[in-house]
Amino acid sequence: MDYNEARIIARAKGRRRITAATVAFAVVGAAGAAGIAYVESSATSANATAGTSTSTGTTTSSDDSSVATTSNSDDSTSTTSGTASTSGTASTSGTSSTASTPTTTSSGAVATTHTS
Amino acid sequence: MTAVDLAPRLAWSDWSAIGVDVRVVVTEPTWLDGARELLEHHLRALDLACSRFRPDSELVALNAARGRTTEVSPLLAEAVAVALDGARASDGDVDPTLGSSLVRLGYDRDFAELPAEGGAVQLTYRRSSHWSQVVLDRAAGTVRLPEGVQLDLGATAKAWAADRAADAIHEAFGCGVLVSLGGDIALAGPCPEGGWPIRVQERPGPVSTAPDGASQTVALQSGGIATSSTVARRWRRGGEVMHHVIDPATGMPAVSVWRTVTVTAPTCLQANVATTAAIVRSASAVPRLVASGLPARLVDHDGNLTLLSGWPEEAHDEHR
Repeated sequence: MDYNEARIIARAKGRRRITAATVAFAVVGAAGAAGIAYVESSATSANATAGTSTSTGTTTSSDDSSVATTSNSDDSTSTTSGTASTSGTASTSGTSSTASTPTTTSSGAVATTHTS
Repeated sequence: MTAVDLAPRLAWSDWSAIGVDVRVVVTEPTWLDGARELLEHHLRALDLACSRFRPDSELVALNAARGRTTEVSPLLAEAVAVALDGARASDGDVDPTLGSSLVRLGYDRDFAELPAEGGAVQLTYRRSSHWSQVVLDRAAGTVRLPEGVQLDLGATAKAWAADRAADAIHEAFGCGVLVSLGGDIALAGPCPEGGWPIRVQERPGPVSTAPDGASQTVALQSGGIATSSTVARRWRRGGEVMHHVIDPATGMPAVSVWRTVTVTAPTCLQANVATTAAIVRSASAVPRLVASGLPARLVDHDGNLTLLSGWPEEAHDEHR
């Protein structure tokens, strides 16, 4: 996930102020949703442009709702370092590592496959 | 157009990008806008890296490099790696180094802008396993093509992008998601009850209208599904019908006993490589598909069906 993807996710989750910390936690939250128990927040370094405000430390969150608890004034003037752990609870059931066999259905289609 | 309804808790959005119709469907309407924005972000990056038709793309620059080693972005490097993996997995039947053939056959712009008719084409083609001569250095971030070779990533890039985007959307929002890029469909996350209902058809067209030609609707819970066909994306040059599935052995549109092949696989990418290879392999595709274990639906030129590895019979004749 790159920085812009993280910004999109953070914004979609209702964060009106998209800060470096928000982005970092969005990345961590996404990793948690993917079933990764612990990640070092590499996105912060990607976003670590020359800044005037720095927050450091270790933060543990049970879900990404804790994004709101960390606030920086503006991602253009902030850097964040440290590590974060998360215990994401989002289900990943259905994520495919194997294909399901198609079955007959009478439901109306929601998409079409055809030559692209 | 964005709509919400059709089935409980499903929401979807449609638009056009990278020369194809795009649809994203999510199992939680709350996340539709975010899912679309994330997919749009992926497609913008993909287009800038991999388009054969926009003059500012990285791929256009790489194809013009005339045998020189060229620096590429991580995204294009990954797309090239994926294409070479597809070539390797298909023993070269899905070959990304056929860009020059497509250009000479007239497919040199977005398909929607392609003149339906044109003069005869003259093609001199020598096969020399070009794909295996592409030098990709992931560590250095460089690619070198044999002189005269142009890449076309059409057989893999869209399917790969659908897989990546579906995974990213699911990971970001936790919902189930279907991503369709021009009919290459990737699924991720939880599926609707009974699976994702997907209509297999031979020609592009919106899900809201009756298909032109044979079709079948199946439910799929995970993985990906893709279709390749010689009856769509066709044009004429010198009175000869051309289509976009090129046989690496000849550099010409594949002459196949199959007009349409559909496959489901763990990923859309795997499905698309399998369908493209099946068109190229013609009759010999069946034992290869059976050996792969991938469910497949093949339609010959008379409309006869061959169903493999658990692909379901049609519940009734669906517009055959």
